[in-house]
Amino acid sequence: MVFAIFSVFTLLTAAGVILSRNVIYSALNLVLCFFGLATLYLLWGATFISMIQILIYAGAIVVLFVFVVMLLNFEKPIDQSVKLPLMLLSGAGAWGLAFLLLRVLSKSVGEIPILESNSGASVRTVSKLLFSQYVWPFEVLTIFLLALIVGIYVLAKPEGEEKK
Amino acid sequence: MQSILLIMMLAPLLGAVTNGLILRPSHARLAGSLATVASALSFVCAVALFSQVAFGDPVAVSWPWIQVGDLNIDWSFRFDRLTSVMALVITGVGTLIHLYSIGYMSHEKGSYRYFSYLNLFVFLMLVLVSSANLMALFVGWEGVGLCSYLLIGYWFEDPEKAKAGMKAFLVNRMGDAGFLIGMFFCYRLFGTLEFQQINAAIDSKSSFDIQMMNVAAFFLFVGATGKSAQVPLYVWLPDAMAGPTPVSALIHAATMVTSGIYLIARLEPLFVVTAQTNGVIAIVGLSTALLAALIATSQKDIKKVLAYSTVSQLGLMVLALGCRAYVAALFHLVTHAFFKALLFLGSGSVIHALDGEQDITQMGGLRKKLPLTSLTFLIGTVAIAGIPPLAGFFSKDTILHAALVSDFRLWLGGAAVATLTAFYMFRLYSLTFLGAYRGTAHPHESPWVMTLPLILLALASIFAGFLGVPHEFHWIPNFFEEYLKPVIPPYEFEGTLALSSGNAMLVTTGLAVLSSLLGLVLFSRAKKSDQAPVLIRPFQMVFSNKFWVDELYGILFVKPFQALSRLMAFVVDPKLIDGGFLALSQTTKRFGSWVVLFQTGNVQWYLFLMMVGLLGGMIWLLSGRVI
Amino acid sequence: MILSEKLASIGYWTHFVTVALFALGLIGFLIRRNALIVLMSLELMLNAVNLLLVQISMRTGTSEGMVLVVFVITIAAAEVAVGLGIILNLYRMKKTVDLDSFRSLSG
Repeated sequence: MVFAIFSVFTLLTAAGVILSRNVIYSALNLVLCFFGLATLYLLWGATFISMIQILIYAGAIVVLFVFVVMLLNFEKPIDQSVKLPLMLLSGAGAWGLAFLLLRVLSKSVGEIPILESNSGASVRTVSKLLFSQYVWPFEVLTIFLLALIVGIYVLAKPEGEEKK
Repeated sequence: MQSILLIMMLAPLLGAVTNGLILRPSHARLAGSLATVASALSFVCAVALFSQVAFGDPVAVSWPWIQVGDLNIDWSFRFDRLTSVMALVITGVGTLIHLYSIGYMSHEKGSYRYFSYLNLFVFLMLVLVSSANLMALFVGWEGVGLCSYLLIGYWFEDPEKAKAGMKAFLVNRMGDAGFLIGMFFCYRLFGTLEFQQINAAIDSKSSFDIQMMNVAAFFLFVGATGKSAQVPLYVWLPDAMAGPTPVSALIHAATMVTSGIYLIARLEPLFVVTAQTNGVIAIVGLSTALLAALIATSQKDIKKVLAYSTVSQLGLMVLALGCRAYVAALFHLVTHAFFKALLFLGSGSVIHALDGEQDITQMGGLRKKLPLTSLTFLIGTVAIAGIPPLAGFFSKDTILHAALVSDFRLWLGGAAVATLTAFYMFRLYSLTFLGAYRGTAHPHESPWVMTLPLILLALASIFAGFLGVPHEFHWIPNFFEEYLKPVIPPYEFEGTLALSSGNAMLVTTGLAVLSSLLGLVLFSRAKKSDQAPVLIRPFQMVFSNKFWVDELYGILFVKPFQALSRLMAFVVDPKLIDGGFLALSQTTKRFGSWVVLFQTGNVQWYLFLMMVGLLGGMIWLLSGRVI
Repeated sequence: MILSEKLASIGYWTHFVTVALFALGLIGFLIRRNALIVLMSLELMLNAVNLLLVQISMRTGTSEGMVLVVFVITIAAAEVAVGLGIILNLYRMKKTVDLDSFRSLSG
């Protein structure tokens, strides 16, 4: 029951993200969506993931979004007119895709019973895996993030600044 | 001996190559001498080989050529007695004509080209007569057709002359198609194209399908029709007079046109047994002879008279072949080579003396101005008219005897041809050399290079007849027939004669003499203003217009074909073929322009397309697998 | 967890949530012209994937799905950072973030 409420909440806020006229409204809807998701993870018992979700997604990414929104001036709403046929087609296509995926998932993954002794979700087990079996991708990821930081700096450099 | 055979054939080829590729117009005088020397060398070799085969065995060489599966065709050459006869004529008369050409072409700028082609022709003709199988013969066959085209169209800047060359080649080609079909049938019948094998197979009386043999013989005869100017493929020969006169003498009197005769003689065992085809051959030969003789009586161009005369004489040779008198046909071939070459070279001398005039109504009275030419020309005329004891009498009479034995009507036709021949030839002689000069030029006798061949050929025309005396004069042996016996056995003539052969000979000879005198008398005092008697005028119009055969061919074949060519060139090619390709490229372009519409530069559009693709892919994958 | 037994009777609902979230994200991506909102809908799609991964991990009882989720989140964060940098540059060039005005790669 609780699960149903929170999942509906998540979906509603997601709809809000894509349907809002105002950019800031979309950003706020996004935050709420993330929180909803985190709750869902908790309800399933994936504690580690839900914390990560809040920390990074809600805590860092949306903050970035809000920064940029503040930086840019949106005097008037940009979205004047979206062509109706495009909307209908995209909607139809997306929902069709969704339907098909649903089919696939229901056949392949099937129901999701929760196992009795499920210790697979705790921090301990995850981190155990992360640092033993998946340590190699983990380290690569760090280098990747380093490269990313350099790239972002290059991208976002203020104009006219001399090479340092 | 084999090397001598090779030298005989290759000497003219070498001359041709040298003249054609190495010499330049500045060396024109050298070209003629070089060519003549090459030809003379070939003649010497031919004589040497003749002595070999007269007393010994034939000479043969061969190299492998086509070897595909079961098909084995070699470059094989075999010089036997029949080949020796042909080779001596080709190289002997050929050398004389080369010599003559030095004088005749002395004013020409491009004479090196002429001599190159002439030598090339001799080489290819020797290939033709020396080859031991049908394929190598065909190579020579085609080759001489090519040389004929090159030489007729020698003055190619004149479109009429160029067209004449093309006409010769194309009509020849039609005959060649028949030749090829005949070759196919031969191969089907005998499994080989080698003459020795074919002839041996037939002689050994193996059972072959006689119908198919008739068909094969017929198609080979079609090939001979093209080359030897028989009905209906003779139309190229009169037009071929557009070429230089020595060319007419060599190619269209003495050698190339005799290839057809040679071919049939070579395959004598095949043709002996095909009775139906022989009937066709005889009829074609006789009709050709008659038609051409009639046309010749009204021609005004000296060379055209001789051209139609050649066609007529070839018709007689073909008639003999149809009556199975192969040796008679060959003998007439030899004697005809002599006196026809003589006549052509004589006419060339006249033309040369008159600075290019060829119309006999503009001539006359040249006997005093060109004595040597006139005398030799007279000898040639008497020879061709069949008046004893010159060469033409003996050879023509042998043919008429064979015709008499086969079918009386054939003999009648042959006698008519002989009478007409005498008439128009003496008409020609009278109009050209007797009476008063009707023209405007200043005639002068020709140089020695031109008159020497005339003299030699005249001597040959006088004495060559005694080589092949017919059996009526049984106290003189027929050397020719004896010589060729190992290759061509004489045909045993059966049946009763409607007229005894002695009487027949008297009749034809008497007719020949009478018509000669008629021709002589009627035209010896002709003036420009003379007209034919009213009764004859309609006939004269028909004959002088050559029975409108060329025009008929034009309507039946040439014009439709030209229309077809125009259709192809202006409609089919641009619209259909080019259009087809253009349509292809246009389609590609249009498709490309359509595809470009997808490149909007808008990321969301791209994702939309990706989604569509993904959707499609999923539907396709899921249909039938996951319900 | 105590609540997890209750979820056993839910069945396919969770799949629907996942898929619906993905579809919403896709629609948002295709429809909106503001680049920022497009990025946000991209994040929605990624989250849908995370949800699925967690579900599967819970079903099979292993933790590998969780590990993958960690990676996905990390990279999503990185990608957002870069994307925003790009958007800033675009704004500098054209003074707008309307995606329809960036068509220079067309044709």
